[in-house]
Amino acid sequence: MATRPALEAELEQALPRGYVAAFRWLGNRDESREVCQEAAARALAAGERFDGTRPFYPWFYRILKNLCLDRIGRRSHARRAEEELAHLPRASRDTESELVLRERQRAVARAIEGLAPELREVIELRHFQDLSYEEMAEVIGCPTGTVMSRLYRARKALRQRLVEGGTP
Amino acid sequence: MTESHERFEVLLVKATDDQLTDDERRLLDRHLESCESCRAELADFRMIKETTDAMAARIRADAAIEPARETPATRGLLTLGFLLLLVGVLLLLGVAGYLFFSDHGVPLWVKAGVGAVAVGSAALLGHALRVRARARRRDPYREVDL
Repeated sequence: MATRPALEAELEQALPRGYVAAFRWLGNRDESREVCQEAAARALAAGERFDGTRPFYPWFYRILKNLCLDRIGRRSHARRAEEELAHLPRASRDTESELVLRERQRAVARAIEGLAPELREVIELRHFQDLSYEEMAEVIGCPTGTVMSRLYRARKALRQRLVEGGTP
Repeated sequence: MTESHERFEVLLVKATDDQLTDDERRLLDRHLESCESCRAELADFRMIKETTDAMAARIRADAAIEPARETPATRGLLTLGFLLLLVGVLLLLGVAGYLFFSDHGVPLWVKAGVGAVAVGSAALLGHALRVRARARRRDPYREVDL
């Protein structure tokens, strides 16, 4: 069991990652913020169930993921994170190289969407939430070696899709 | 892929994430010198990682756009402003009410109508403030600071 100040400190670290995870699930800025608030409130309320000797983020991620899946289940239509990403504020107008980068991002996003769920999950956890291999193993519930071989297969499948799509 | 290549899968994963130890790096570098397919694979894996890193960074930057946090100074200023406004409004309404209701030139039915509007407005405002205060007390997220 963790103390409330310890939980709050963990939450401060976890929320930026959690926001990225929620945004990738929901594809909506306001909903992502709301769901992070809700997950934080639930984590604080359920603090006595958290084992302080284990990493915090995998535990928090489970709460967050369940809330995101609930929301997705209630939706009448799907939103894509990449569509919303296109509307996020930018510091400056796109240069030619930035346009190439955006095109590549769209291609990578499409390729990720086409992956099998277990392969997509490792990409989301490693590439977008920056989890360590050990944290990924905790989240997925498998050995670290399995995480790494799955990550290899996921990247290989992504590469294959990008090559087939003609992405530079 | 041959069995010897399979040994390098984990190293390619770790190299993409910059997680290799010195020994692993030396081992992989030796292999890459003679293996074009692994070289190409690693280059593409790194390109994919850089691309998704840029995507994640944009989402994270968006998460940082939060309204300015309240400090004790801004909170004090807000309270002072609210109190001054309240005192001013009550003073003006009191004086205006006294002048209006003590004016013998105003017909009684006008005074009754204005009085009803004033009492009704005060009752509605009081009710709205009570509901808001109750909702705030019960808000489960009031202590959550994103």
